[in-house]
Amino acid sequence: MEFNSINFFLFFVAFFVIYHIFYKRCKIQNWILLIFSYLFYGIADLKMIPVIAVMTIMTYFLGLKIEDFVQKDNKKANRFAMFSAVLCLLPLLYFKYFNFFIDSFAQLFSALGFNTEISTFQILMPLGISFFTFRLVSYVLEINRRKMSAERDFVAFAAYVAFFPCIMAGPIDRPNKFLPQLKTVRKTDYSFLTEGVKMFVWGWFTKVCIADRMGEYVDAVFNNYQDYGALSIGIATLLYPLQMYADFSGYSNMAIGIGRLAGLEVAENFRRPFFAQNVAEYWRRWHISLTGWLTDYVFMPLNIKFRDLGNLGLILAVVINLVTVGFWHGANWTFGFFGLFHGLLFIPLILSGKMNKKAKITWLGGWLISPTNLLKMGLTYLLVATALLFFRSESMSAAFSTIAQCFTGLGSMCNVGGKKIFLFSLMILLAKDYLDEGKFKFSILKTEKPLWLDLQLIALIIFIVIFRGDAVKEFIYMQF
Amino acid sequence: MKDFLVKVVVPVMAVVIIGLVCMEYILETCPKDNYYKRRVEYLADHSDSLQLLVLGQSSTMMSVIPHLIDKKGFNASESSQPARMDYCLLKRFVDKMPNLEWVIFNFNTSTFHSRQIVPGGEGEINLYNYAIHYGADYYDGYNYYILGGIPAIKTALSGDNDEKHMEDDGFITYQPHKWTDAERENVHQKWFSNSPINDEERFVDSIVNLCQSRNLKLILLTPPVTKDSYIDVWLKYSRVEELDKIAGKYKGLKNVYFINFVQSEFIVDSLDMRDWAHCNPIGARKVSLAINDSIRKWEGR
Repeated sequence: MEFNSINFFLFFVAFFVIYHIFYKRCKIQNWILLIFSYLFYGIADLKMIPVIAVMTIMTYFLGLKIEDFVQKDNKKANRFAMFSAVLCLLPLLYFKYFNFFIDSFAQLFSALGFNTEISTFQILMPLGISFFTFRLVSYVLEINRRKMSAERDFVAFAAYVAFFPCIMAGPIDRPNKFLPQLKTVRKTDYSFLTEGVKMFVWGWFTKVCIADRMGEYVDAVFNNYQDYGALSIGIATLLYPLQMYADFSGYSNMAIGIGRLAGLEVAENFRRPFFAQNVAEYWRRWHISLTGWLTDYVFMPLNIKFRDLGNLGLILAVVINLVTVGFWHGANWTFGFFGLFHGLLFIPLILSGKMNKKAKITWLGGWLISPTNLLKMGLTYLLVATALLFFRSESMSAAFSTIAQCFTGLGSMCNVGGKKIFLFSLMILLAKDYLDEGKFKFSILKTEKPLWLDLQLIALIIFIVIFRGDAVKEFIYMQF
Repeated sequence: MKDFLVKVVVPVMAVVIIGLVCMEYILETCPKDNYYKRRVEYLADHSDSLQLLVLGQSSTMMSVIPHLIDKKGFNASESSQPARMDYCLLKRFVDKMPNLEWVIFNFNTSTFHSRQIVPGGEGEINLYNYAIHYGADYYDGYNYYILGGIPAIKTALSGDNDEKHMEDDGFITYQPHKWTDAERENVHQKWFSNSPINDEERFVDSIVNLCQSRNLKLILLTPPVTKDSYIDVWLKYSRVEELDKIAGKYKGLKNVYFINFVQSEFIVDSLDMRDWAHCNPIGARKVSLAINDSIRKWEGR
């Protein structure tokens, strides 16, 4: 059930009404949240409900045990927390990476001259497993770090794990920030809820008017790259980051919006990534909840471990972290290469000491970005687009073939409709990002004044209904 | 919460719903596709003299040129026209055509494809146009335009289709359009994979029965497709067997004839075809002359 479908609208209206009838009765609201979350998950993938249910029950008890150890013996707590984290990760490793490891070993042995006849299993990956697993791992590690105590209320904990707006594709909320919200009265003030509607409608707009329409062009080119030359492939490569952004930030904004309408604050996931002036800054603005998670649990421990190696240690920690980011997306060498490519782009920044420096944008006359900044943004965008070409390809050979195809000539322009709509919509998106980045007084959907806000919402909704793509399309990140 | 509901949810929802309903209403009063109107007018004006009526979908629409056939004819086929619509047309006009002798009907697997009749599907705009201009009674007035998005709204507002050109005898040519392999494959997958033979088959039965009862000669015409399309679609999706199975029901019936141009040697893809399933005017000329020869032969002339 996609957020942008009629079915979800009806589902959400039912949830919203029932949920808010029990205002101030947190326990009942948590039950409602849990039931609707499992219903939502069950509609998408009924067979996989036992997986999430068992993992939730297991982690709930592991959390209690870790807390027990933390109070008595730190070393034991550390060891048990690591064991718990691995235990939480096992289903993800099995469902997502088992066949990949088998295949890769088989290929390696074949390359070494051994005759291997290993067959893989048909494994169906539970939807959203990458996202709820990270929530569970985060939970056990945060208890061990004493940043929170183990949750006693099982319903609240289960509702946190299966929270339906975020279960399919994030954002990955941290337990120490999310769980306390389930214990208190939900926010229902005007500005909090209004912000939710704004974010939902904006996400809906970027998804259906930009990502879906742009996707028609990008898919037509990348799925049949043999038919095209440098012109179409070049355009598709440049459009793909924008499609990803419109799609994934669209999903995240809708999830955050739905969360707010349930009176809950969901973690931020995007902060205008294409205004980044280098790759390090790009990662501070893109998929923030994942990069933040990996920074805390992968990068920081590695950085501490390698600190004696100086810059080399930092480079190693960054590269390993980003390769992990890559492989988190799926079991394919293309994702690994995507991470490695980004990791290598960090090296000049580390050596010049600019990795953690915030690159400030200079506004000429208070409203125009300086040419130097624009150039840096453009360069960063090109590098990101190049990396995403590998990310988008089915295999490494397909990625290199796509690049090689660019050298066969200019080729024809891919003739797919809807270009004017997505270009116009894209202008609106970029204008909003520009105004928000510059912290201007005026921006799209920024106002709090009811009349002016209502007019903008009405205009956007009618625009969406008329100019949306032909069919309800899945969000890209749901496959991860 | 109260403020939020009163100041945002209620006014926004109310205006959006009222706005969309009004837009739908306005669009319904717009001219729609003028070609339908012109066809109905043509049929009404010439029904007395017509000897040949062509029914079917885009492949027939673009491959039969009535003035190249000895009989005075009219091509009433249209893109994505479902068999039930063909039956509706024939039933409506047959009594007003005292001189009608021959009916040519598109006999192609897409005739039986569900995409033509699914509400919200690509063929729906045609159903809607027929409902308005031809008075087809099975169509229940599903709100198409707003839900159909921009293409439907554009057609409704302009009433014209820039790509079409209709000649006086009802033969429609389209502006040349070069389909890339990628686009073709997308369309194949979208339209033809897993396509069921749906209940359009009973409307083909009805057309055959109506022709039989009125002693009309019926040609079940399978228009040409490109060699690639034959391999990629007809063979891949077992179209040949499916069509043969249905054709088996009508073989041997009096006054039912078959002409099959799929795999026909005298159609050259690069010269005669506009795209994988539609003739260009040169191909249409060849097909029409071949049909004329067959009619002459069957009439013993």
